[in-house]
Order: sequence, then C-alpha cells, then structure tokens
Amino acid sequence: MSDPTLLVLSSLAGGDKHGYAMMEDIERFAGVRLGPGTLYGAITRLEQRGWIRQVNSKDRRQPYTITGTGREHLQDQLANLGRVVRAGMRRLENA
Amino acid sequence: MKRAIRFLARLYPSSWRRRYGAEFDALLEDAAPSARDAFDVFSGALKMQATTWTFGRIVLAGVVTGILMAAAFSVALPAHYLSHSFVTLMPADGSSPANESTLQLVSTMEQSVFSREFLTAVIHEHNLYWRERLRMPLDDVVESMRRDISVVPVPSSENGNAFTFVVQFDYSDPRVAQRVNEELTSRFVEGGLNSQLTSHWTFRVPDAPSLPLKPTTNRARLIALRLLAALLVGLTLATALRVRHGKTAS
Repeated sequence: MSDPTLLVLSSLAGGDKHGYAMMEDIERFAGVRLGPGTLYGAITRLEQRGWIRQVNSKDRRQPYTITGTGREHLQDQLANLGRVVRAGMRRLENA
Repeated sequence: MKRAIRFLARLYPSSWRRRYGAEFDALLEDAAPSARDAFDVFSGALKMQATTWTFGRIVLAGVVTGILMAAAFSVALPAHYLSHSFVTLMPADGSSPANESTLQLVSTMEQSVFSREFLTAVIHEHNLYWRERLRMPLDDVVESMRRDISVVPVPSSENGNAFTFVVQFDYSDPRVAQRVNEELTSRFVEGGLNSQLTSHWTFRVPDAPSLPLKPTTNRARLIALRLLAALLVGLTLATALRVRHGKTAS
C-alpha cells in the first residue's frame, strides 16, 4: 500500500496530527517514508475533497483531522483493499 | 540541504504558498531532509504548478520546452558540408562499348572507392570520424563513411554515349570534405584506369572537387520542423497533464 492519500487518512484515523507527525507515524505503521512534497500533495488533495480539515492552532505546525466523509472514504478503500488481500492470500494458499 | 529545499519550496504556486507555506516550512525545519526529499519537493512543486496552469499556459510551456530542446539538439549536432565533383566517361575514338562492359567498368570503379582498405587509409590519413572511432569499431566507422559517400549518375552534357557521375562526400568540416573528395574522385578514376576495360574509355574530371560554403541542411525546413515538433510536444504535454489532472480530481 503506497497511495499517499490512503496513508495520510490512515494516520489521521488514529488522531489529529501535523505534517511531521504524520510522516513519522506513516513510517512507523507502513514502513513508507513520504517525502515532504508527496505528503503535502496528498494533504492538498484531501483537503480539497473535504476528507480532512485543519484544526485551529496558533502553532506553525498545522494539525489536521479526518472528516466524516474522509472516514467513510477510508473505510471503503480499506474494505476494497481487504477483499484484494483476502483473495490474494486464498489463491496463494491454494496454489 | 535545508537551504536548497527551502529554495525549491518557493517554486510552488503563490496561492499554494499562501495557504500551506508556513506549515510546509515548519515541516522542512523538523525533518532531516535528504537529496531524495529535495527531488520530492521539486517534483511536488512542478505537479502543483501544473494543476494551477491553464491549458494555454501548459501548451506555451511545452512549446518553449520543445524549442529549447530542439535548439540544444541542433547545437549538439555538427553542421554537414557536401563536396562534389563530376567525372565523365567518354567512349574512346567514338566507339560505343557494350552496355554490359560499361556496367562492369562502373561497378569496378565504385568498388575501388568503397573498398575497406582504401577508406581505412583515408580515415587515418585525414583523422576522420575521431569521435566515432573512440566508441565504435573501425569496421563500423568505415560503414558510416560509406553512408557519407555517394557516386551517382547524372545526365551528361557530352555526346550520347558519355556517362557522367557525381562523386560526393558529406563531412562536418568543409575543407576536409573537399580534400577527401579529391581522393575519392582520384580513386574512382584510378579504379577505371586500372580496369582491363579501360581501352574503350577516356575519363574526364572537368573541375576540382568543390569547397562547400554552406551546410547541406536546409535551415528554413529545419526551423519549421523544430517548431512543429515543439508544438506537438506542447500539445502532448498539455493533454497528458489535463487527463492526469482530470483523473486526480475525479
């Protein structure tokens, strides 16, 4: 799984985070280090689609939170991914 | 590295910088950026720029890129100069040799010009194709030289039984092209003189090989082709970005 938007949504599903915290979290749970350009490309797209929004903060490190529609989208995507994973595992076992 | 990345971050569109600039700079301060991150920021800036550009602006950028690439390509490619000379074969004493023996004679003359031994000697004597010789075997260089030589029949201004040939050599240096063509022309005639069929023919070389003053390529045509290529690059790039942007947005 290397889709940056899915990784960011998964990270925010665990709680509000700013950019650097997301980078570290994603590296921890997915083993993928997103570059700053890739991370903020994903944040920009996700915010435009209304799947995440910024949390009021006076810090320069702007935290983000996942929205309701963002959570639904993540659930759909992970369910699809789960189906693919289960089918792949089954086929590997039967091969 | 941080300073370089901060500079690259300025390549993002100003509207994006207004919205995300401060927090993006804070992220760059927290992270220990690598060269890979620098490329990532540069690539991200280009992608973000592309999403804010209009179709016309992308076409324009593509056309400018195409023109710059074409200009760089033409600077990298050396100009070519074509030296030519004429050789006329006339039947001796007004005789009319059989067609078969004429073809045999011309074939012998051509073989002597295109022979590997002769061309190898010419290459070494004039230090031709030195760049190619650094990276190619000599046989390939000889083959390349053969492509730059042509011996073609042309309509003769002499009597009906005469044949005229133009011997041409194409090279990046006009003086070298002329000097080498002198040797090629001499060799072409010698090939005929050494043939047993020579008693039927006399050979005439009216003028010394020409010194080419202008490159062989047609500049106007080249410029038109470059502009067309640049336009195609621009349109392709714009269409690809529009399709990609459309997919990302959906």
